[in-house]
Amino acid sequence: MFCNVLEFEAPKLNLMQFFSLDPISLALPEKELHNSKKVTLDNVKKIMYHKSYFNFSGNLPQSINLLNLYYTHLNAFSEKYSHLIIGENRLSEKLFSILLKCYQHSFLSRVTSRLLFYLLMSLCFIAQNIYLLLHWSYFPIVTISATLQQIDLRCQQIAYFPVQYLKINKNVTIRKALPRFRSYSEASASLRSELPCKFYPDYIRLYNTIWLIVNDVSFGLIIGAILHDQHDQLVNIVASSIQFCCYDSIKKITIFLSNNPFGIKLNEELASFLSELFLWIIEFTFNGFAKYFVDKSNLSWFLSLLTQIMCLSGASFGLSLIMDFFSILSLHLYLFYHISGKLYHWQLNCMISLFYLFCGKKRNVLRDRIDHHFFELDQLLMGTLLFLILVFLMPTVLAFYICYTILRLMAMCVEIFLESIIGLINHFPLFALLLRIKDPKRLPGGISINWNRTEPGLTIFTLENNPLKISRMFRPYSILMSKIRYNYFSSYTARQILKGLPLTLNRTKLYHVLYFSLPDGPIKARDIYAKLSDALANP
Amino acid sequence: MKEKEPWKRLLWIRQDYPDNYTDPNFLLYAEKLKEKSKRPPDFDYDYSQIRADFLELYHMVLNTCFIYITFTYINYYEYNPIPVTCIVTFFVILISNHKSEELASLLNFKSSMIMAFTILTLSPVLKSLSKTTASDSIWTLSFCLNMFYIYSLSSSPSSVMDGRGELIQNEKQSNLSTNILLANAAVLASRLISTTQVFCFLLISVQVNIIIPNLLNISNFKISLLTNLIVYSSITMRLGYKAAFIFLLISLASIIILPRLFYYWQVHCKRKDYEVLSLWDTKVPILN
Repeated sequence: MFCNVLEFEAPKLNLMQFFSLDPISLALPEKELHNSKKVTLDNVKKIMYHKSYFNFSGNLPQSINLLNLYYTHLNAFSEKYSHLIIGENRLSEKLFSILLKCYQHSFLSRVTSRLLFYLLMSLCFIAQNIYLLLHWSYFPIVTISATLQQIDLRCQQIAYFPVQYLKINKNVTIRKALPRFRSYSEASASLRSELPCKFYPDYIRLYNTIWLIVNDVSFGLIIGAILHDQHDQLVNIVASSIQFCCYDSIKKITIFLSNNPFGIKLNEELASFLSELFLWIIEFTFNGFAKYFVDKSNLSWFLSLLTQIMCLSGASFGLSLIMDFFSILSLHLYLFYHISGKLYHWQLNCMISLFYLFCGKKRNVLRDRIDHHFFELDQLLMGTLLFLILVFLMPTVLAFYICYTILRLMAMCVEIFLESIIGLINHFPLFALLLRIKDPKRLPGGISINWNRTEPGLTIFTLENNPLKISRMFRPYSILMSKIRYNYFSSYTARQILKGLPLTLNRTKLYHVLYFSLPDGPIKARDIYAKLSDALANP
Repeated sequence: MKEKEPWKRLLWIRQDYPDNYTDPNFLLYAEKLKEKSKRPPDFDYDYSQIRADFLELYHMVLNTCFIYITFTYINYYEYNPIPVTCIVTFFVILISNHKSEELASLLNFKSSMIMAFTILTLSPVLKSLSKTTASDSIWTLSFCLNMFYIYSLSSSPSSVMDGRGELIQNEKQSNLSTNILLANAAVLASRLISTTQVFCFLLISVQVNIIIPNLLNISNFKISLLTNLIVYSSITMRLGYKAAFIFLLISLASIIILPRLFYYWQVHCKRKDYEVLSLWDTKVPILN
């Protein structure tokens, strides 16, 4: 007789090792990011669903679940047939469990858990209210500032902690109750089938968040210390560089543009008008607020505030403050870009419709096509003269527009760089990565069955756990990067710039993909309160 | 059994015929055409019509010369443009009042007011438009626009032959030629120094080149004589006898030799199957 033997290393459920057919997801199930490169070829689909490649029996998931519960079954077996089992529990484990039980029933434990409970609930309540304030439906101020967005993220995380705890805890209680199901009843089978994979991602997410917060604070301490040490030099450097980058050089560029730049003959009147307008805006923003930022004593005060915030609440807060500071300082660039873009866009649109008139054509809005049309002489005269004037003025507007678009793109690059660092600090899958290094069995990404050896009449295979792929852990980042690339460095961007349409992107929408471990809206504090007090009453 | 509907030569209708269906009429027609091509060509082309068309084109070209004459008058000789403008405007008003009825004249009054004020408003802007551009590039631009204008004149006739060989009003008559003329005038006007000059130049150009050809038949003998006289005398004055002689040669060639060449081409070299093309060409769906 010929038979196959499958060897496997039994997963230790108490160490949270298990086999899983599908890779476990680090994101919330409702925010699972589907791979966009799905197989769409019909032939491949046909092959995939062909009988010989498709397993209809569905035995594999059941077997895998059975394997996962190996130690549970072993325990049940040892309790029933204790005389067949050799070996005993270790003394220290027993002692520890007795002590734990004693503590759980003591008065001290009840008081501390009550206290913790109220502290947590009030924190959660405050966090939720701040969240609601920031997401006020008439004017969601969270979209304006990076600091507010950071506060919002922390609030969401704090409000979500109890829910995560509850989810994990519920599963733990089921796990404890499991040894009671000794017979293979239907109910216990269904309970077993959804055992480890359900709560486990929540566990990873919770500890990942906590790790990240701790990490953030420690980064903040390091950077804060460096900032404190280099305080005086930094103030000087920052003050002079702001003065140079944001005001002096831009003033120079604007004046240069009004005087036939690179020998390109621009329309003198329009160029001088535009450059005067922009110079006026520069003066206004500089005298309005930038003067106070560049002032050294104010800058020094800001830097010490930044240091303190970094030390207290983490590097991400400090970086978002720096980003807000930068966006306030580059406000005039933003204005220039939008003013010149609007002018350019308007002129381009006028020129296109006047060009139709020039060719004796007209856009038919009803049928969305260009129709032939015979114009009267006065219409023709007016249209043609205006068209010619716009054509002659185009290079001037274009020069200003291109120049300010490049400046704006440069400012955008700085913003994107800072935002990506903040995103990395906030959402790096640190815990999962460390877990992957420490014990890959705890991060199952599917199974593989490999040939091991052949003995006479016997082929031996080994069942192994494929650890979760690193690319899968970083999928939100790759999606974010491709989004950024599409929005700022692609043919789409070039088209948008050519048409004179603004290159703006809702920041919250963009970074939404990184909030993969948080639900969309907050869960009501009242519900959490009820559930938590339930859990407290029946430990 | 129901009678089959006759086959229509329209691709966008689902018909009860196979895809490679060939209409028997087409075969008959092709047969006829083959016979026709064996016979000697029938001389059904009207030579006098061709000559008249070429003469009209010549007059249009002469008419465009007025733009340059006026420009030279104002820019090179630096004469005062106001009296000329007044005279031309007076003549145009006289002719248009003589021609049109009361309602039409009212409408004309409105549009002429609009035109005058548009030119008046935009002339200071036009004056400063090409200040930083070199003169040579403006002359080149103007030359190109003029060539394009003549091409667009000859390619968009005001009347076309329909399928039965009758002259009808061209439905697709384009504004393109008028616009190119206006653009040419505006480009030239941007080289002038004062606002008055720009205004007068544009007004004269519009009246002489656009309004007068619409009001009067410029191929009329008296007007043609006057036009020729003015054009040749100004060429002689500005460029000398040689240039005028060359211009005369070219124009004689275009009046006498070109129509004959065209006629010869039509009779001997033109494709004979244009009839089948006009009858069996791709049809454009009518959406309304």
